Amino acid sequence: MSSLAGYEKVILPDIPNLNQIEVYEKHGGYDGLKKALSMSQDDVISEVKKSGLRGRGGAGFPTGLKWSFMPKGDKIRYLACNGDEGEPGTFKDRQIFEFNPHLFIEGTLIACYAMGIKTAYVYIRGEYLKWINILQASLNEAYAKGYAGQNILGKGFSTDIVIHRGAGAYICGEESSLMNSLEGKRPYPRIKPPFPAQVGLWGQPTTINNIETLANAAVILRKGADWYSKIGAEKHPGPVLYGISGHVTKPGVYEGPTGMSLKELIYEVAGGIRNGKKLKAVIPGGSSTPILTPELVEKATMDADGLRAVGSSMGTAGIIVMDEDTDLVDTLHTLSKFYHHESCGQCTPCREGTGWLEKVVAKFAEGKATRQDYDLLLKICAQMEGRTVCALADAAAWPVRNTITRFKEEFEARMADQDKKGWEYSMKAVSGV
Amino acid sequence: MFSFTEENLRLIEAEKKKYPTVESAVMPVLWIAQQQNGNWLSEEAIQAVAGVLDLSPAHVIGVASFYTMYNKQPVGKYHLQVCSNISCSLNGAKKIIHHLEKKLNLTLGETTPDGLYTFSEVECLGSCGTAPAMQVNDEYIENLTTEKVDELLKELGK
Amino acid sequence: MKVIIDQIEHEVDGKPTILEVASKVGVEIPHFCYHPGLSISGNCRMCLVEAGTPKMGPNGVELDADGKPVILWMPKPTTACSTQMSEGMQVKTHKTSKVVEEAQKGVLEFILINHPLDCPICDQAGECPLQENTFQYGPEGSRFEFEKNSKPKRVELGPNVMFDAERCINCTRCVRFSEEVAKAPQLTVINRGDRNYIATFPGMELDNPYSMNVIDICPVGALTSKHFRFKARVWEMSETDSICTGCSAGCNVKVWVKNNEVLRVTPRENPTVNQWWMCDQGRLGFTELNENRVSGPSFKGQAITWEEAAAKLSDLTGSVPAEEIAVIVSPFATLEDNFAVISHFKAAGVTSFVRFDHTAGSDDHLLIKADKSPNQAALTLLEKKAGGFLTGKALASAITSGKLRVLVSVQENPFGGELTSDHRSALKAVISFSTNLNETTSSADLVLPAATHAETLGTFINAKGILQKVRPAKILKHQNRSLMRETGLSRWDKHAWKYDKWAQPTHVTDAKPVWEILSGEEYKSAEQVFSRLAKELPALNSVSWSEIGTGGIQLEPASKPETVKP
Repeated sequence: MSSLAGYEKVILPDIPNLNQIEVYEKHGGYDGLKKALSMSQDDVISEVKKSGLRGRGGAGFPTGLKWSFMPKGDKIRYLACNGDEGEPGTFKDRQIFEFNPHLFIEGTLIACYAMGIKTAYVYIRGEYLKWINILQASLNEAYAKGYAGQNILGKGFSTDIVIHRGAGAYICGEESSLMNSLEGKRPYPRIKPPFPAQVGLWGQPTTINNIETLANAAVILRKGADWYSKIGAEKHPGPVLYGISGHVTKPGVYEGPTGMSLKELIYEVAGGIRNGKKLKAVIPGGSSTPILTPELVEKATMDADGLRAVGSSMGTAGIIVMDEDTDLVDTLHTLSKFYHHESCGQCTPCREGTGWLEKVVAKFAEGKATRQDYDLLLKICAQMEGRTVCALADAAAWPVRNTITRFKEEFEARMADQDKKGWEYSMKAVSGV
Repeated sequence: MFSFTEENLRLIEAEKKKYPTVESAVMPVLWIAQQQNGNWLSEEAIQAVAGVLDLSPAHVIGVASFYTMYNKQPVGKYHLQVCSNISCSLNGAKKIIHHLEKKLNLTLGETTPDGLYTFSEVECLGSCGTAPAMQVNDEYIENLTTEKVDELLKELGK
Repeated sequence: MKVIIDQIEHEVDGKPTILEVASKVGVEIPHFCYHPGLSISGNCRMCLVEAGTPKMGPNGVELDADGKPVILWMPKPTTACSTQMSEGMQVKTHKTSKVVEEAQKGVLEFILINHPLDCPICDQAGECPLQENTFQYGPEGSRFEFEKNSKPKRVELGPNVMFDAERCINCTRCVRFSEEVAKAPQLTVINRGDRNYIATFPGMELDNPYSMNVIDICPVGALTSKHFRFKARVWEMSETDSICTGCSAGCNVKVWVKNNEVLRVTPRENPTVNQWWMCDQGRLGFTELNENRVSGPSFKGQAITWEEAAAKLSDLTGSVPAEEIAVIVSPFATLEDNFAVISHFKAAGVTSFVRFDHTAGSDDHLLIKADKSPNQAALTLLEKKAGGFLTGKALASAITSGKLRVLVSVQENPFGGELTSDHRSALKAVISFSTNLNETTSSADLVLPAATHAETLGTFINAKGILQKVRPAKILKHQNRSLMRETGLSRWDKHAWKYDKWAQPTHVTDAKPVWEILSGEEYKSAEQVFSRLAKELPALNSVSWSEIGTGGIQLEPASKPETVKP
């Protein structure tokens, strides 16, 4: 039976013109905010904790717990809403901006209330101008109706929401880079500790949440944590937006419960592999999550535990499907080129390693690689992983490591002829490393 | 010499009010400058941004040069930005790029002599479900095919 | 609190970082981007270490079977520069951790893939942290087989600084220095990723008064001095710890000499005086130590011997009553020189001692002082002994009125500003003790060549009342043995071959410290002059020569003002 039978869509329901505030209100819009404002701040945080919501931006950190890290007191504090959405294969937040912007606004207001925040900044990638405009229009409606701004709903609570347009940099999706970008600095990620909850935007306590995460918060307050926590996987519950792209018949963003089987998402929800081809590989959660072989896809369910079991992770739930004709060497080259292009250049291993990886992967693509290059790729990855301020170096290394190990034959097949015959050239003797 | 219009100066003042520090307004003000300057940031424009925000010009160019969407060189009337990242590539982005290269007789990063088109390759646009995709200036054109590209060029070339 | 680095326990105070503790206890942790005078940026990743904290149970620190604390090690290596130590923290450096050793090798291999290996033509070679760290911690080769990135070379960032972007390792020390210390944000990193490099805004220059400090802190040869480029390999030069005499800040410096020629001056760390920095003006003032020097005594333009010069000096000063002689003392000369001058002429009955003012502008935010002379505070100490000082103006009017007829100028240039040719005509004789040729030496009857601060040993007192020593970096023709002992040596000097500085007569000046010219057989060394003056001057009664060391000593502020109104 389909996991979607009887599933009630709450993030992207099939309601026309939901971006208009009257329509949104008619369908329970801003009820969550009203409910939150009738509760204590701590109770709102407890409710979110109880729901089991985990961040939808990639790291999957429990949202309620994150909110509870914000220190109490009178200090000015900020919320940064992460709508940078730059991870290849990820295109879900733009659906929220387009089809249900008020849900995100409502979630943001609830988060602000729960954490005593008076200003929220929504960081949206520069390319999304269309969706920035949609969100701004919705925001204006929310202000006009007294949901945002001063003395919200007469409850004495005030919050402003400010939209900040990015300008083309993947790294700004990393939370501390995003903060530096907002502050008008070069967006280099910051060293942690201190964590944003202590020293964040402009030195003040700050929480950073993904757009979809905040939309979920609105749902939790509207429908209750008990209702919410029963959706999907027990330890990673709730509705999630699956973005399915690549060689499927019906690519797109689909809402469903967490924990759906990857197979069902590919073959039923997205209509299966295009042109009746066979499956070759799937990247389950955006480009940096480890790639899955068809055997692993068989077993995979889309939640933290389910994907950990197959050696991958949920990431942004951006599922990239590749059919049997896919050239994985070329595909990996595309990704390595991307990470090289997007490395901010702050830390040595990432600045230099991403370029090196790209060059060696290119050698495979050109059919000039050797066995030593294969080993070298793994060694470069090892020299990058866990050696940098942020996780971009890891994000760049993982696709390489996982693709070349899980699809080793394909890379072997692309080695230069003499290497296929087992010609050994001892790099070790040369480098001593 | 670049100087902000009265209206843009008002917009800049509004942007400054959105943040606790003036430095934070650098990105929105760069956007305003780029728009006023015909979709690119000249050195004068960057200096004007530094001027209105009382920042060092070095800092502003450091910020501006980090982001790909701030054009540091003049771009054509239509800036064709084709995504070549994974989902688009899986769906034929390379073919679209080659087609455009041939059609416009341009290599990536170049502008046509008549100043009508600049052709760039960009990273993931977040159009993975409607791949391949490109942006013409700020507008998304999705589910690209070579036929669709031909039609588009015909439309734009008018 | 107690912390453990490489299994050795250390007791530390406050909240230091791992790197701070390590450098304090003598554990070397290689690094590039960290600089104690700048904010932490943590970007080079060279100082990675393994760190862990004791596991806390319900009854405090949990112990293992051996009774040792259970340590929760961080899952990944952490940067020593940015990680604060806490009670019981344990750290493993490359000495005890294979992971750290590998991480260091990895970082160095990465840094070097796009770094031109042009050490043989690079000014930094020999004092290059990248070279040194690679030698000590790096891999033995590279597995990188592609073309290196190409970036701008020979970029003139400003009047004093050249930049090679290919050598740059993006540590951002220079950018942080400009913003945080010089308060002149003229530098930035532009672009991103491995296309990154530092730049000024197009058409603008790195021209702040402290711009050259970026050369010192650059851990590679990316930023070099326009004035020093390709002049010498660093190991060919001797380095002598001294102080800058460009103003009353008294910045601590190293004076670098090859073939008895000063080639550069760099700041030397002194936390109470100049931290790690100095201004460009002070740094570039060294040309007068090499050029335009007075060499050998002369009388009315004719070279004479030192013996003849001594006779002329007593003839000229004896030609008029002592009360008609004026002696200009010098805030550019050492305390010892001034003491000897005042003692000598006082004994001869001279009562008119003159001191010029050299203030211009105001102090800046960092080091540059309004008082451009380095030793006014020493003159203040001597004021009582001199019986007060006349100003330049008072001197001029006393000459015009015919009251003063013989002028002795010690390391000053009165005819370069304070006095005119009319004053010269009114004077019967002018005697100039001078390091360099100037208006006064050309109009003087007797010229006595004085050693510069780079050739002498002696003390200066800066604006903060810190007593410091200058040391001889260059030798003189008739080298006093007491000076030779203090002179810095280069590798070449030590191994004495034909290019060493003793052998190059072209750069050797025939000059002497003023105290030596005047004292005859009275003093054998600056130290002897100092012991005498320290006995005489209450502010220095408790100061011994040796304790001044290379860091200087703060004189008691209470005993400093000793002014007696003339």
